[in-house]
Amino acid sequence: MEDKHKSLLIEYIAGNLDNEQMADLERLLAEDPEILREYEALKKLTALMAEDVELEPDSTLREDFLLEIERELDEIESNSTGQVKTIRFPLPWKIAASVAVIAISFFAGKWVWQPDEDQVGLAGLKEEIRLNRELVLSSLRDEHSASRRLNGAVSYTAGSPDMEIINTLIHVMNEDDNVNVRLAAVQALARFAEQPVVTAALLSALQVQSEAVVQISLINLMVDLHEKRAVGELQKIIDNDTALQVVRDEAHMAVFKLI
Amino acid sequence: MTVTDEALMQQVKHGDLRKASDLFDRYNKALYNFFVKIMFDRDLGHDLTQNVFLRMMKYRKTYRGDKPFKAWLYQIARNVYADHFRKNKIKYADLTDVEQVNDHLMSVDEKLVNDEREKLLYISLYRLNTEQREILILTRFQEMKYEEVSQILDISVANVKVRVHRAMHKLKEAYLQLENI
Repeated sequence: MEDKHKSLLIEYIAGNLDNEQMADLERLLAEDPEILREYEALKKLTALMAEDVELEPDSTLREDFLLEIERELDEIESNSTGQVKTIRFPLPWKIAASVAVIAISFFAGKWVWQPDEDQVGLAGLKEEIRLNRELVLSSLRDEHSASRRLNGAVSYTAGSPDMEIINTLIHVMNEDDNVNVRLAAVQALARFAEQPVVTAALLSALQVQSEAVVQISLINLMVDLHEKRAVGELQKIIDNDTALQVVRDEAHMAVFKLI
Repeated sequence: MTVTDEALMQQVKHGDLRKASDLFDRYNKALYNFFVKIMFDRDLGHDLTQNVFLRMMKYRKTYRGDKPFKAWLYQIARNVYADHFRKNKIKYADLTDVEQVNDHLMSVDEKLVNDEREKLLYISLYRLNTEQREILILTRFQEMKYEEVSQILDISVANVKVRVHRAMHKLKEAYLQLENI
């Protein structure tokens, strides 16, 4: 069948042809069973799409937006009365800033701080670190927003490990409903793989994760870490007939590289 | 008489911010469905829909009214999800396996799994690339005219038609293949 006929059929079903085009096509439909079959299949699909279920957003979407409008109005009013403008940064910026502050504070503590210098300034810095650390944790624990949890996991790149954040990331990796958030948690944990608790968590995740994209990420991580203890678990994946072939292939390659 | 979208947006632009709630009421459901059906994630659909309206407020002064409001809003929506993919740099799950798609469908809406034909439609949809999925969601699920889509995508109407035809045929092939399994 010619491509132009396929295209004409789509426009015919959508009601976009003029009378002359319609007459030509209807003649073809009567004469050519192949075109008729194509027409029936496209018509069925088009009807199915038109019947599609329309999903309802939850009511907090509207409530939050109305609150945002009021906040914006307050801000305009406070600016017009000469108050200092508050700049609102997006969440990923805040998290990135928190990580930067943690890193800067570490070096500041190590290289700059002198015991007899201004204690008040240091106390302020410590408070800032504490607040920003809380922001990372609250993002990871936000049950209502997958993208906020995802941002929390992706943005956590601090140089030194923080056990509470690491334990939260392990929990997210094992329990989060959203596969992309679980994947981001795996990638965040990979940065702290030298910690025994993290290695143990990654090894046990290999046994329980069933989503292919997460399994493959874990398998590749085991290879990067030269983690020979994973070989037994990888072998189980290879022998598992219900696992996706692409996952089994990755596991096979990983065993080959690790042994 | 109903106030047009463009008139409402002009009012928002000039400081009557509460008029933004009318625009929200007109478009939040369509945008939410747009995101959920492209990414199959209700939480993300919620967050990204909210981001669209926050950006609408943030950039209200840049609204020029040289194209329909709906096209302007959907362009913001496309930027929002492009930014989301770029910022997170996460590999999204490649949903080609029937069982995997089943789980995702269940998390979006149980009705989709219960109706065998709907289920096959969504699995087929997931075998298309994002651009093809997007153009079918706009033209077939949301029933936008080719002219409207051409304004959103900034391409000619002829180009929209070509893309729709290719996507429809790919969808049909995927659907028939699944139906015959």
